[in-house]
Amino acid sequence: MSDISYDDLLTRNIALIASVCHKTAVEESRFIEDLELDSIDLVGLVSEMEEEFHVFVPEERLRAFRTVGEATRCLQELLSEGERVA
Amino acid sequence: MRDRKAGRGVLLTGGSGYVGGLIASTLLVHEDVTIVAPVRKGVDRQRFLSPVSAEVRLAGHAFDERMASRIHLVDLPEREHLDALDAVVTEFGVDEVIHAAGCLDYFNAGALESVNIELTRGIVEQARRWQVSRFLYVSTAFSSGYMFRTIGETLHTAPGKDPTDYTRTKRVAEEIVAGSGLPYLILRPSIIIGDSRDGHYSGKQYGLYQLWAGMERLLCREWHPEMHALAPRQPVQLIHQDAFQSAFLAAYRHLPDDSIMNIVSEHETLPDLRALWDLWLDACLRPEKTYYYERMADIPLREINGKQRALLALASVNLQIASHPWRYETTSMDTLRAKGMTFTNATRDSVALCQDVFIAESKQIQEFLAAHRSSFSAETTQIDISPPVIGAAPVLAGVAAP
Repeated sequence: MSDISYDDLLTRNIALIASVCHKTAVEESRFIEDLELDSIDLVGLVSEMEEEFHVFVPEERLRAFRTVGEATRCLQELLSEGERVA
Repeated sequence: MRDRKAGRGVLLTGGSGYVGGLIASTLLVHEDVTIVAPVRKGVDRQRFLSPVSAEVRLAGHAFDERMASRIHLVDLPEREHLDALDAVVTEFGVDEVIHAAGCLDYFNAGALESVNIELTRGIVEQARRWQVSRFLYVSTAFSSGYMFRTIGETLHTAPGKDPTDYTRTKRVAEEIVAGSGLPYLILRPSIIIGDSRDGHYSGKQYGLYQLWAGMERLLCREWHPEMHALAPRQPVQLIHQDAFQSAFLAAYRHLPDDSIMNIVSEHETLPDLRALWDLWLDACLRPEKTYYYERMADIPLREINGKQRALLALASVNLQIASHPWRYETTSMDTLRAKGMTFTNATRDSVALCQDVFIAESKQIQEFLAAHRSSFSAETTQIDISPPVIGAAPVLAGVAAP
């Protein structure tokens, strides 16, 4: 089970986005429309999230990464499910 | 050959896109036409003309005021009001429509439906009212979906499973065009890459360029001693942009009405997916070991480097499409070759030229090479991971490559 709360995950995600993408994000920010990330930025950011949280994001779950909040919720679910990287 | 009036009008949709721009430059150089191009808001004349004029010049022709005056931009009306184009159709004597507008956003089902199907339906309806002499539609070589037999130059009456909604919507659009009652020509190019003569490319980062851009931005940060690649020995269906232009022009001039043409390189000349990975790895990474997989499902995604996993996720759909054994009927290509069409097939060397240009133009790759070339391995051990037999462990077969 994940012992990281949604709010903690969100705060760390927003900090990660600032550090990797140099963008100021909020929970509702949409990656493509608001943060203006392209598909390469997005998969690169997801790999940083995987590294940060030691979680594995299966390709089929990437579609849920529309907003920062949705991505955070998905990460929380994956952590709960024990989707760890090696 | 069709009888064509000098100075006639051609309505070209998608002219501000990559393929539409290639068509516009070809028509300007080789045909006595005036191009009427509906464009979305935000596309100004300069933005439209820039790639078109560049292609004209790179083909060795002058792009002067006279040529520029043969392009007329008009606002693309909302789909429900395409009859607003009536005035320009009359003014410029449009008697032919070339519909090259399309959506390639694999995962945007709404946009695919709206652009590839509904816009096509709308343009076809207007073309019938305008009583044009022919409707030419630019489709894709993959509109059949996954087929395990030769893909004919006919409508796909029994399509295979679609890799994405893109292929399905292009197929539906073909049916709309063919069922319109208008004389038609449907062209199905495979994946278009840079020019065979100098490797230049002005399109977006789709197809092979998506993979290269992903490698540039995801991998060219640190040296990777191990690489994991989805790389079956399956020829990848590529055509050069100059070959596309040549095939377009020959088809435009010579094919009879109601033809469908697969525009593909000769199967035997094409590099396979593994050769494309090897080209890149040799130029930009030279790992100690490369693992080659036949299927995405065999790649141990949890265990590999995160950036390599990101690259595979990015290019997953295109890599899986490229892994399929596509085979095409080439009757129209053969006929046009016999009439003198020059068509440079894509080969390993011609793709390498395009890759060289991409690498040379990338600041990130040049900086990466300067910083990391000293880490490159003198030789790479190549390890084939064969699909496992049920109940058995994956099979490894290693060989060192210089």
